[in-house]
Amino acid sequence: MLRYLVTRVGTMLGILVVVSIGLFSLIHAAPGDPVSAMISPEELGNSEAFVKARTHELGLDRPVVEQYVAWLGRAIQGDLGESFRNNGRPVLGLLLERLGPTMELVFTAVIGSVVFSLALGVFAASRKNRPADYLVSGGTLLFMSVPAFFLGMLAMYLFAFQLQLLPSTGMASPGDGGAADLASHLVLPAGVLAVAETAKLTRYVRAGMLEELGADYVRTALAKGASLRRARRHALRNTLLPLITLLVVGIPELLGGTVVVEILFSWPGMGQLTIDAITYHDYPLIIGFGVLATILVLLSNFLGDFLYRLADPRVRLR
Amino acid sequence: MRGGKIVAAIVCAVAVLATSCSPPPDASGGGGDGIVKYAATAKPSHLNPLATFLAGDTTVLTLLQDTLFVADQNGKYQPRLAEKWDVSDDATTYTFHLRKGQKWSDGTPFTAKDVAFSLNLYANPKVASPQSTRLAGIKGYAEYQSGAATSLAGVRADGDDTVVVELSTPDAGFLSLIGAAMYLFILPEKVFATKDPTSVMSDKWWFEQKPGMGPFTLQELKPDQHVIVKRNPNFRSPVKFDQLYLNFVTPEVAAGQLGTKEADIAPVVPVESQSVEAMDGVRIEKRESPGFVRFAVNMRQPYLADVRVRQAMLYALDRKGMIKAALNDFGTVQNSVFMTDWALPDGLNDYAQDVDKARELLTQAGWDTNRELVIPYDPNQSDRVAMLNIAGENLKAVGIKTRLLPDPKIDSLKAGSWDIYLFGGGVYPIDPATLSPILTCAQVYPKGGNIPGFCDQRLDQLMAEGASTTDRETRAKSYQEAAKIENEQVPYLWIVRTQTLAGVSDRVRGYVPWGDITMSFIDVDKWTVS
Amino acid sequence: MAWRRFRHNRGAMAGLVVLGVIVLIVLVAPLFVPYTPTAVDPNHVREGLSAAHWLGTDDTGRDTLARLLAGGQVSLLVGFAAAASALVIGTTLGIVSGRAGGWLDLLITRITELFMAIPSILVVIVLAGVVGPSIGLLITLIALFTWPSCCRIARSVVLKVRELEYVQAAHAAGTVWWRILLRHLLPNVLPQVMVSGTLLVAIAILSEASLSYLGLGVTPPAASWGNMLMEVRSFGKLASQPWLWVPPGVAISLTTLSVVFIGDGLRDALDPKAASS
Repeated sequence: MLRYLVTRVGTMLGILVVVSIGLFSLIHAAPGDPVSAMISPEELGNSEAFVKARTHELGLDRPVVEQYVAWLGRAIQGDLGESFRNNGRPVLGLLLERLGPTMELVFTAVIGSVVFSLALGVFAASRKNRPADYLVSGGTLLFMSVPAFFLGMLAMYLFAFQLQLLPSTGMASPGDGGAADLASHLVLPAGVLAVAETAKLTRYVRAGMLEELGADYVRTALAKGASLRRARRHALRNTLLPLITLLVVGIPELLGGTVVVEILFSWPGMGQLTIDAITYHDYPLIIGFGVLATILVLLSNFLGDFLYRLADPRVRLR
Repeated sequence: MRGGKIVAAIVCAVAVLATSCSPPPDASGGGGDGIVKYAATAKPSHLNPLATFLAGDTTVLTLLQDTLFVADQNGKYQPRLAEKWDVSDDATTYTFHLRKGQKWSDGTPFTAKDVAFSLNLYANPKVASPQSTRLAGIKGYAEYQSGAATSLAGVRADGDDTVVVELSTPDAGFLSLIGAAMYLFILPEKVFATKDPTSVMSDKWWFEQKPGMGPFTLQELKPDQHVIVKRNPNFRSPVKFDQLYLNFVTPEVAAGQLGTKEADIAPVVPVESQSVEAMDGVRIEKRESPGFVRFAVNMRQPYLADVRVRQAMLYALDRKGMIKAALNDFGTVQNSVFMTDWALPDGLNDYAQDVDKARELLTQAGWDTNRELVIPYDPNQSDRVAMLNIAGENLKAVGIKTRLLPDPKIDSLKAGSWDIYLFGGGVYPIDPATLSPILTCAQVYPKGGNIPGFCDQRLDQLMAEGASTTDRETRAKSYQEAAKIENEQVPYLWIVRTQTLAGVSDRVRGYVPWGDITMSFIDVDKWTVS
Repeated sequence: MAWRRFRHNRGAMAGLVVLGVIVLIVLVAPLFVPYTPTAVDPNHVREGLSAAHWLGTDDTGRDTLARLLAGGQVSLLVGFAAAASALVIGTTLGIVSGRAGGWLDLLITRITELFMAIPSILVVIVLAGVVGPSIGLLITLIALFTWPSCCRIARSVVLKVRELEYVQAAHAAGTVWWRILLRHLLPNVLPQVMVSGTLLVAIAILSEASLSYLGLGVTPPAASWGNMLMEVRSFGKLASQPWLWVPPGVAISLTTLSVVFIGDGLRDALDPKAASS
């Protein structure tokens, strides 16, 4: 067990280093640089001294390898450097500040999709091959096929602009910050984010329930007079763990989906921060985000593998 | 029951979310009468006027700080911190008379010392501000830069209410250099005198901005979300409402917020004007822009150095069609970079669309029809993209192939790998001297704003002549001849002078629309809120 | 046998038919439409459905139908090409990994993990900035981030099959490796991988849509279903010009739906125990 953990952590660190090197090289290869990105083209002429001073201040005139080593040295100590653009604020602080809202979205989406997929999946399984089942099955397929941002636009249009039931953008109305306000802002973006995942999970739950209920031991029990409800509860319990596993493994995808949703709904999370960082060549922030995102993905993979093992002890850990 | 457990779980989760995540911001008096909500599409990044000017920063800075004066939309200068000013006949001495009795937002007196100090700060070589070159004409600038002097010899405070600025050479356009738009915000001497100039760029003060001379003070700043500012009772003409909320949203969503009452004022893209007009309780206010949209032509490319090629491109374009399609007819065709009435001669070529003429010119110039022109553009500006699509088709029709290159930060411009580049902006109507940075040889990009790399000795001479005296008639003669040269040489494919539209809720009256959207708050003291 | 089961699956057959029709229309119909996807017409902007323009026009007078068809060619090309590439790469690596075992298997598994760990959006955006967005880049990038799933499936199938008696017997009898590959491995791997492959097409089409929406995919003036939706960003358009967004949105959804139905049908046909309809 210990050996497994050690190798696992070692691999994760290795992957982090590779990712950081890769990203570092990529962004330095990209045309443009952070300092002139802050200046409109017409002002660039006036700004020669400014550009030189800032470039030197930020260490951008040193060779790339040297810059990377310097970054790595600080990163190991937990210091991800300062953002070029946001007035020199520490990258780690910025990311953690934005991590909150993104995690709120992801968390809500995850909970929402578990709840709804369980409810819908069980419901569809219990009405197998009846119109309600077809409706759910058709619905899930449909929602898996519609791009998230399109759905988001439709939802925003319908619920925010036409029906005026929900706010259209942002995380909170200025001057208000109460739970109700936060919740109302959360509904649309989290909902849109969750839709595809919910559809996928609903199908899984439904299939899982049917498979369990069709299993021999269950049929025998039913034939012997056990209640259907108890059978259902057993089936559900058996589907639950693989469901959670599937969910955890799907988190990286959800994280990717937050970028588009955050942009659409002006949600102040990591997604928006990253796009800005990339556009403005904010190197420390880009790398910092890359590292953070990689950690999150590796952690959820790790958790997923762990759950897989719990669910099926035959799977060997490497 | 199973369902019940799940419900309980949800309730717990929501409670956890609501209470543990981001602390609630200042919940000071929710919506209501004293608050105006503005949907802003440009976010501030550093709020530092010593640094560089991006739209989001300027907009917020105009709320918190102020300048001596600024060009208004009628070709005149609007007095702000300075009440009036005198210009010597030879255009070398400028005397600014400040309003008497002005106070900073913390109640302390505002004096000429603050102005003199600020000008020195902008020019300070240790600060290395891009705005410094605006002050390059002031006496003693070179010595200050080299370190031979510790301040600008040509700037002095004369008592509490007068500032005298002396230039080393005559420049009738000096006022436009420092005041065509909000450039030189006056900063508090008592705060900055003790700061080290080399580290002033990354100072934390920029996110507090207290004290300031603007109509508001900063109450809350959440980058990417919103800015809340509070009325400054010490402003010379205090505003008539309590708070202003700036919500940062994407341009697509901004206008929609007018309908849901999440915004009282929002910028409106021209093609959406009908949808906004259809909204209840919302009206459209519009104003001509002080700049215009144009293609800069990269004259350094050998195949674009031939004037016939540039003229051909202009003849190929259906500019009226572009305005109709991309701007919903909100705009007028431009035929020159000169926008001041008295500087424009009669008889400029209007380059009305003439596809045959374009083809003829290209054949004469020996154009290679296999060549593809690279056009970098900012994909976030939908009306520009529409114009580009039309331009691409127009050019194709006369045998010029094009390739659009998405490039939000215009890195290809800085790398030199571009052919024509569509962009807009500028504040030119106030004075033709404002065009020197985009036309003269000394300002060829990257040294200055002359992006095409246009260089004509005669034009340079005329521009210098025009700035050397304050006599309107003499100036007009020089500039008109310069305009003729520019019209013939086509360094820019001028497209359109746009109109800036804003949707305004009926509860805000007295709103003054500005063609330059970063100036939306200049007249905020005139607004009333019901 | 499996084909018969597939044929009887109404959903899957419907999906196949619909997909076939879409592909056919997208390839053939442009010959009958009098407009090119990029031709502008400032005198006929923002017009709704009409005899001259069956699906109306956009902001610059371009014909929506022409753009829909051209966009379909691009989106389908990206979808199928990316999925096919991912399939080939993933399956090859998965088979090699499962068959070889030892350090090669370890290496490939680590590489798979690496690719799954990289935050794809970040890399895509940065690469699009360096290289400039293009269809080729799009296909490469989508394939690059979706091959791991095929690899895993192929590998796990190979691992299972390797243990089977008749395979071990063949190996012991000295059969050539590529005959084992063709006779035993591939016939088991391919069907499983095909199921995930069809899903990959769906994912690829949706990825293209999202990336074009962010401005990183197909760039103007070319059309793709994704970037047609990107151009409907403002809400004025959403409300008053539905002909601009409904067709591409429906097209994406219909295509993805049929692909998913086909994938479902394949899976059910290959593994009747999992059949749920």
